[in-house]
Order: sequence, then C-alpha cells, then structure tokens
Amino acid sequence: MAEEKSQASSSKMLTLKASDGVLFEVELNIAKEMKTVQAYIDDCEDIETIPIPNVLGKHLAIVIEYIKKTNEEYDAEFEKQWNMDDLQLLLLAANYLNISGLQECLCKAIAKRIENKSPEYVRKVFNIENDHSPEEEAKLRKEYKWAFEGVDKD
Amino acid sequence: MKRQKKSETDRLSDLPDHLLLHIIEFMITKYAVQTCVLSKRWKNLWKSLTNIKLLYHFDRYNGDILVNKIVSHILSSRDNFVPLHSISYVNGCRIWHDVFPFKTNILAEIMEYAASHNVQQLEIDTQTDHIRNLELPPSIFNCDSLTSLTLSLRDVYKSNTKMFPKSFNLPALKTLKLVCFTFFTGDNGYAEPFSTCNMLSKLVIYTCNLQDDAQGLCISNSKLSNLAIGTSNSHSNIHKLILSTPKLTSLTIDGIPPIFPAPSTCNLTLFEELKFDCLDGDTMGEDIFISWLHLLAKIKIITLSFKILKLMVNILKNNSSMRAQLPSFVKLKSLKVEAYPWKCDERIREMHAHHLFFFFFIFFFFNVNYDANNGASSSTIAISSPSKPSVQNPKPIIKDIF
Repeated sequence: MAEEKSQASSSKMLTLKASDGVLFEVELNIAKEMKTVQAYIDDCEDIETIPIPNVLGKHLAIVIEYIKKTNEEYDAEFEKQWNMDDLQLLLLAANYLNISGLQECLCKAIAKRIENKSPEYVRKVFNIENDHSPEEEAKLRKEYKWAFEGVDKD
Repeated sequence: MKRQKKSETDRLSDLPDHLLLHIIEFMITKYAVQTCVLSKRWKNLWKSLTNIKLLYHFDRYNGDILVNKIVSHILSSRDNFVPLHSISYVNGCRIWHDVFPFKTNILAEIMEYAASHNVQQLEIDTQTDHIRNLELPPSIFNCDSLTSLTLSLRDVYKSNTKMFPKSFNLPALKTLKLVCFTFFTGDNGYAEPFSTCNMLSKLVIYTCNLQDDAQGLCISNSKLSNLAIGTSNSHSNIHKLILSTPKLTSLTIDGIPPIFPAPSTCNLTLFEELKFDCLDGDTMGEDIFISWLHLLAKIKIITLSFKILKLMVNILKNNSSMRAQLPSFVKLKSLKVEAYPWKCDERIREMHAHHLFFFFFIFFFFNVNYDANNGASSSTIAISSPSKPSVQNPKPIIKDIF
C-alpha cells in the first residue's frame, strides 16, 4: 500500500493558478523546483490548486518550460527569445517563485545586455528617472573617470 | 504630471535592490561601477558587490600605474561591511620586453586585501616580467577562509618562477591552481608541497619546477580527487612524479607530452580517468612513452588530444618491436579523441582519419580478444571537436580494416 502511494505521488499533478486566472497542471516534481511552491505544499499538504498572484500566465508558462528543459545548451539559448521587459518580469517571477537556476540565467542575460552601454542608453531602456543633479553626475563621472573610458557610443 | 508615467513604469526599478545587485554581479567591476550615474538609487549599489572582477585586455600594455590606481580605488571605495566572496585579477595584456620595469605592489595589495577580508576565492593571473621584486605576502598563504586559490604569475621572457612557501596554512582550500612556481625540496629528497591541505580536492600545477637537489615531485594528499599537471616548456625539471593520493579519480596531462614516466598507480583504487590535453610539442622519450602506454592500458576512461594521438601512432608506426609488445587495453570503457577546431578542412580530416584507424586497430585488436573471453563489454569510442557533434562507435569501419 505504501508503495502504491509513493508511486502515485511521483506522478501527482498540481494546479498552479497565475495572476490572470490561467491554470497550469504540472507534475509535483516540476512544481517542487519552485521553492515558494514547495513551502506552500509543506504547509498545506492537501492543496491541489496553488495561487501564484504575482505572475502572469504567459510568464508562468515560460518558467514551467524552463524547469522542464533546463540544461547547459537550453540555458545558453533561452534568454535570446525574450525582450527586455519580459526578461525583467521573468526575473521577478523567478525571484518570487524562488528558482535559483532561472534567476542566475536571467540576471546574467540582463547584465550582458546592459553592460558598458552609456548611462543614457540604459536609462532609456528601463525608463529610469535621472535624479542626479548635473553637478552630482559630473562629480561621479570625474571620480570614476577610468570606469567610463571606452563606453559603447550607443 | 507624474500620472502619465504610470503606463511606462520604471521596469528595472520594479526589481528590488538585491536583484539589481545580482544583475551587476555578473559584470566586470569596471562596468558595474558605471551604474553609479544612473540615478541616486544606483549611486552606491556597486559598493555592495561581493565579487570583484578585474579584467584587462589592452593590446599594448602601458598603463600599469593606471591599473594600480583603479584597483586601489575600487578596493578603498567599496563598502567594508559587505562580505567579499571573491576577487579575480586577470591581466591578459601582452607586456613587451621594452617596457621599463615598474616596482608595483598592486598584486601584494590585492592579496593582502583578500586575506584581511576573508575572501573565499582568489584568482590572480598575469604576466609578471615587468614587476621588480614581486613579494608574495604571507597572509595569503595563511588564510582560514580561502576555498579556491589560483596564482598564475608568469615571467614570459625570463622563465623565472616564484618560490612556493615551504609551509602554509590553508585549512579550507579545496581548489588550487599554480603556474610558474618552484617547490622546496623536503627532508626526504622530494618536493612534497601539498600534504597538509586537508580539504584539497582539485590541484592544477602548470610550468612549475623543483629545486636542483630534488629527486622528484611527490603529490601526497588524503582527499585529492582531481590532478592536472603539465608544462609549456621542455626545460621543466620535474623528471619523476609520485602519487600518494588514495582518492584520486582523474589525472590530466597538459602542455607538452610528459617528460616524466607514468607514476605508479597500484595504490590508487579509485583512479579511472586519464586525459592527455597536450596541444604542443612533437616528441616524447621512448621509455617514457612505453610507461604511459602501459598505464593507459589500465585506464577505464581515456581522453586524448589529437596531437598526442598522432604522436603515439607515429612512434608505434616506426617501431615494430614496440608494437609486438603492446599491452591489452582490458579496462577501457570510453575513449574520446578531441580534434582541433581550426583544422577542419577535408584533406586534413582524411589524414587524421588514417591515423585514427591505425590506432583503433590497435585498440580493437586487443579489445576483441577481451570480448571473446569475457562476454560483451560496452566500450564507447567518441571523436569530438568543438564544431562537430560526437561521432560514436566507428566499430564497423574498424572491422573493415581488421
């Protein structure tokens, strides 16, 4: 009897409900890669549908696919499909769901896209408001002059 | 007025500080510092970096003083209360011999900073011809926190090496890579530098030397599982290697083909993998070659660079008595040959293929005997090159020749 139960639990399905109501049926071992979900299951064993209030359906789908397929090759190609907005939302999702591998992959990808670009470029891409006064910015640029040599003229 | 901005939310700022920091951790420190001008929120973020990455790749090196200032500036600006996990200083500049030698202590400064800030991983990899009187601070060799240490201090023009300290205390060290060091000779007439590193599991020694009076190099360590040893120049004076490493599973030889005979492995019960990553050099002493061939015959997993395979086949081709006394490769489970990425045109591949067939012929001549006596053994042969996927098991081709 115990054997049957453990066999059943390895293929047990769980339902995840994204913030926009989209439902995903996933195997337990896939869901457990999301440490947040794991903690939820630990707290309430009988739960069948777990709400994921911070993540849109479209991003949850991508996250689940990542967990299923992740390996060196997949990770190298993974980030190329997404634009900057999606990368950031995926990173927020990975952070909320506590999936460290995906978080590393996404942080690395975002870093590659913004490194050594001019501050003007990075601010434009992310809509960062520049609240430095011109004097403050000039002072910083002077203090760290060596950091700004050879910047992409984007 | 601010209302219209709602729809174009400041996306990157939606990410909490710790994620922003995690993102810039992947940049070299120079780029991470640039983010200080993005906004007030970003001004001091880089100072909490736990990994400092200093990479230099100028074409012509003339900025040693500048590099000193940059590194000093980074170390002094960062937040001292934030624990520092790793420092990496990799200077890939080619320093020409007409550069006036500096007295620079940036390397000593980095090492002392690492030791005093309980760094776990330290990597220093640079040419050192231009540094006069480089002294390595003892603090880095007596550091409780270090788990990984790489010191590659290369004098390219003078072939000088640095003396590796006679005694040191790195109790947490798991990975050690040393390039261009000389080891002291111990009381037993051998250089035996690593017996006190109780946690060491991976060791790489490259282009290192012994003192003139040493009989050989003895690697004696209770936990070591991975060893790589090699040299880029034939003037290395390591002529004998002794392994007293009961947990050793894998040995890699790189650089030029080995100038010392194969070590005895009878006490190494876990030893199963031998890799030859040799990409340079065209000769190997005959006796030395025979000793390594006998060792290869006992190995389960073999990886050969194409260069060493070619060398071995050439030696065997010209030496019929050696061929007659070939050992049986009874333990072989996996053989991988790594071809060069840049030698991929048809003509060269064909030439390589002939050598390969000859070599496989040798292997299978003995393997087939073994198969007949002991039933099926699942050996895999793979030829791989970075640009092509592996070709598995070309047995049918071998049978044609056989």
